[in-house]
Amino acid sequence: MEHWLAQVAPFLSHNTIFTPATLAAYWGGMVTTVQLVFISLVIGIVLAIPLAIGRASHRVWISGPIWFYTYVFRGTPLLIQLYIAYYGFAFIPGVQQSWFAFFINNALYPALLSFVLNTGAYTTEIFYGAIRATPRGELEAARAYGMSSFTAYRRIVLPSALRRALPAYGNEVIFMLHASAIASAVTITDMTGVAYNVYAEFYSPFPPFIFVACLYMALSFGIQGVFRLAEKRLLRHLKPA
Amino acid sequence: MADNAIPLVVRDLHKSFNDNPVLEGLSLEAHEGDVISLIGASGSGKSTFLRCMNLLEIPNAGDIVVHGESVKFKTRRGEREPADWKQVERIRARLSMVFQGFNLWAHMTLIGNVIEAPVHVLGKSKKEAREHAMALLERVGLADRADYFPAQLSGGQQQRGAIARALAMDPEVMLFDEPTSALDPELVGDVLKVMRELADEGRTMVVVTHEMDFARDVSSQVIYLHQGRVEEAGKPEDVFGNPSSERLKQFLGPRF
Amino acid sequence: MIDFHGYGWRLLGGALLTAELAVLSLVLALMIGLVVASIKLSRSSVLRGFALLYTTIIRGVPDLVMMMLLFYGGQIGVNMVVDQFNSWLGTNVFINVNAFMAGVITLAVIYGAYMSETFRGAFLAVDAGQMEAARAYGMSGWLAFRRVRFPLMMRHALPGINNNWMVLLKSTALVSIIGLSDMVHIADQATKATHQPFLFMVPVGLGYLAITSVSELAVRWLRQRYDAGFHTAKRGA
Repeated sequence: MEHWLAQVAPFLSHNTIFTPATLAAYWGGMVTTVQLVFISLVIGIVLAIPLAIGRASHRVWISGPIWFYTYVFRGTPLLIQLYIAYYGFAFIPGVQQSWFAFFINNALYPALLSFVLNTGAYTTEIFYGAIRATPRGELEAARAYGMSSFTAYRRIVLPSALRRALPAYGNEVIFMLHASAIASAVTITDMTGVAYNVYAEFYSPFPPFIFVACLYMALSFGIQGVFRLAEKRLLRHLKPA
Repeated sequence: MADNAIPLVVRDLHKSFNDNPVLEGLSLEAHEGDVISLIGASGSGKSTFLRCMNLLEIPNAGDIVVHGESVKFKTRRGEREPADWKQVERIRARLSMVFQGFNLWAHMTLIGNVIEAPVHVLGKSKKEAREHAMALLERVGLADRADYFPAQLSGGQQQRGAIARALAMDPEVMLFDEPTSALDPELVGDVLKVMRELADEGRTMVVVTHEMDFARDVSSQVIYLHQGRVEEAGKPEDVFGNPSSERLKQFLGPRF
Repeated sequence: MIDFHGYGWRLLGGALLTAELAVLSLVLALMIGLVVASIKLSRSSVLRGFALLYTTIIRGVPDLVMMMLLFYGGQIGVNMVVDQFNSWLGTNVFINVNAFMAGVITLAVIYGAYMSETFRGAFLAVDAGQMEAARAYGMSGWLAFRRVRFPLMMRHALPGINNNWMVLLKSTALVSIIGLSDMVHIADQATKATHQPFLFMVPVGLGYLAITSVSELAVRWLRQRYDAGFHTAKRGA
């Protein structure tokens, strides 16, 4: 142990890149990334549940527009959506003097808007797929026992569909974490933004990018672990004894 | 007897799928304590008939009357549909159905399944529903399985659980849709035993079944359907002992 | 006609670059995927370990970070290797890592990992009896692979390949961040110059939608080919 420390200590003291200042910057970037992703995901879910129910409707004037929304947002790169949210309002004459100026002056808001709409589209499709996979007989039993459509959705369809959607949704969360790296393209200093700044300052690509890659990996595996646990708890009913 | 004393009356039911007639004028009266068995080859319409009774299928013509309350229909764009879905839900809650494929809700434990509709449809308190449910699970021999999920139970256990779920509604009529057809042969006996007990205690039941022994021994009335019509109906000793229809004779085979 | 303020041709050029980038990375990713899938199914536990490490890392790191690492680090890394060789051999070679190469290689390395998972699952889904039958009729290993295992495997792999391709196509937009002039990059420049974001971003978005829609149709056609014989009832003459 002491031998090992003796080797590491000089490395740390000769290290110019990973100073307390850069580590603090990384921490700040991580907070930004996690906040951005977490808020997007939460609003995305709130959006996706009613949209998924609407998407499953047999009334085309309800399901059609929702299909179109998910088709457009899943068929185009998130970066385009981010640019449209970021530039789209900025050049409107007089916007700087309006109440809406807050949205233009902080890139976090347009980023949040595009992330929410994007993850909302993917999550809608995930939930919709899970709703469609509800065993017919279970829904029929609900109706046979006198449940209204609303009660059947609330008690039978959604609880079982949301559980079934868990593995796919776990992938979406990791996908969003990784996709959020593009926030750095619109001046947000998220984790990737910090790594780029450190790279630009020291002109040394490997340490900052490999370090930030490790941070992303740690977060990804953490998320994966949480979902594995949740699946174990919430999907145990599907496993035979 | 006045209509409103009879638990279930069905009159002149017609149903077709895409212009293919499946039911062509079927009627039935289930009095208090009756056990009516519907038998017939597959495709004879017996399951559709049963499913029309609680409106899982909407009949194109005919009346359904539960204790004197007649289901109201209207016509929209040439299709007949219930005029009042709230009424349909209320009536369904009084006619509990047991399915061929059990259809227990997979994300709930067995006891969760049994208390679900009493709590969320009938508005009973959880505590009361739970006590009732435990007693029912005891009856069907599954008290020790109350906290298991359906996937952790055998087919026979699932079906007995489904019967407990049906009983929990205190139904006026129980509808059984081929309750033993999806079971391995060695599990059929347990389910039939529970059904015999229910018949003995005077439950009103309508049973679609392939179990001829059950139909003969337990029923008060047997209806043999062929291509959506009643081919022969009557007391089991007549239908099985002295069938008049050639088709029924063939259907029953040499054993009867 | 819409007035693109002189950016029309450049946008088209950007679209072409996007297409080149996407197709080239797809081909490379498919090759990497096949090789890595074979490694994952091989007997060598050391090789299998490396393959697992590769896919695990790729799945944990964002595309953009990977791309920056390869683009900004690639030149330095290549220089270090080349300098070493130069000092040994007394030569004076310089290899230029451009953004296009970095883009293609990054996308191929990333989606190669996802493709390998797709192929692995597809190979495992092929009924073992089919290969036994091939061997029983005296087919050599390569012949049996080419004539029996591969076509059967493709049927299972197509949906996954399609999925990966759609994600890959959209990921090409990231190269605009490291300075490649794909259609997103041109649209970004045009927006900054003309202050008309919708004029440029919306057509580019439609361009992606068009490509995804067309490839959806293409995959449907391919699927029918590989599904031949599996739905005989539907496909009767």
